[in-house]
Amino acid sequence: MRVWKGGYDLKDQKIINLILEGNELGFIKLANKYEKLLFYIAKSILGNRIEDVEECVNDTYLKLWNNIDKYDSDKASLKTYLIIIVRNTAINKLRDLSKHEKNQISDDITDIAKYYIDNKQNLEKSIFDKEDLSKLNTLIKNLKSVDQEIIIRKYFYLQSSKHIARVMDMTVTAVDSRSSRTRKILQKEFEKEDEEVIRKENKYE
Amino acid sequence: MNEVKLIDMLSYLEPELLEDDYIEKDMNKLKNLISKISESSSLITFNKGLRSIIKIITFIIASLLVLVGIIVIIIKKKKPKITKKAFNFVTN
Repeated sequence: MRVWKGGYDLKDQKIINLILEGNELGFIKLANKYEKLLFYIAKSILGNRIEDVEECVNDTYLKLWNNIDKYDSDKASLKTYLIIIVRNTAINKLRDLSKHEKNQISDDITDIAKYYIDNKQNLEKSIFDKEDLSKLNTLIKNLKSVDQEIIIRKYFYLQSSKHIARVMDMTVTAVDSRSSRTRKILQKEFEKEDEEVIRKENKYE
Repeated sequence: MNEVKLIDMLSYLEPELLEDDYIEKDMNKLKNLISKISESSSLITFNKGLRSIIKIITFIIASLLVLVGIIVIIIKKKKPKITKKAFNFVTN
């Protein structure tokens, strides 16, 4: 796994500086470097709705423009920052679309994307226990690299099992069984902790 | 922890986990696939072009052979007439 060690990408730093100065050239350079990547991620979530994909990528640029002062190059690369924005923007867009085209929306999106449509809470407003999040991230970091990649592709990038199988040279069945097994392992780890808490509480009573 | 909570929490992966080039790998793979397809399709069109050129050349050669055959037959048919004329001319 590649670990981010701080803002060493000079090109990205130049882009950020230009955006901070309010120079439009910054966005031109940003688009030249990352547009394909952003389109790819948005398209894998939104399916073949090209206009919506374009809108989603434009919204991503706008969000970056509005929040550039919050960006910390020591925490994440510009690429990762953009990936997170475009992913969440695409999911929120999918939810908006589902309100208008209820019957057609489920044609070309994955089950996880459908889950996000049904669960109406806005991604940016969800609140979780910090300890739980940190534990989950540690558990994922300790997974085998194949399982880690499958989980990230399936649950973060919302890629279909068919797509994952194709790009990872595996069968769809292997992808599904590996992801289901990993999910169970993660759930079990959290259940263990819950049981321990209950046991401790009972002991003190 | 239920599955729903787990799916929700997976939206909050640490940036460190997202620094891998999964998507770039996908894009490169797709690019390679497209270039392979276009290469093979250009090979197919090249083969088709070659085939049609060979067909045209064969057709021209065949028609030339037929033409030569016809000319030979005409000459052969005309030859006795010429000799007869020559014979009559000589005898007279």
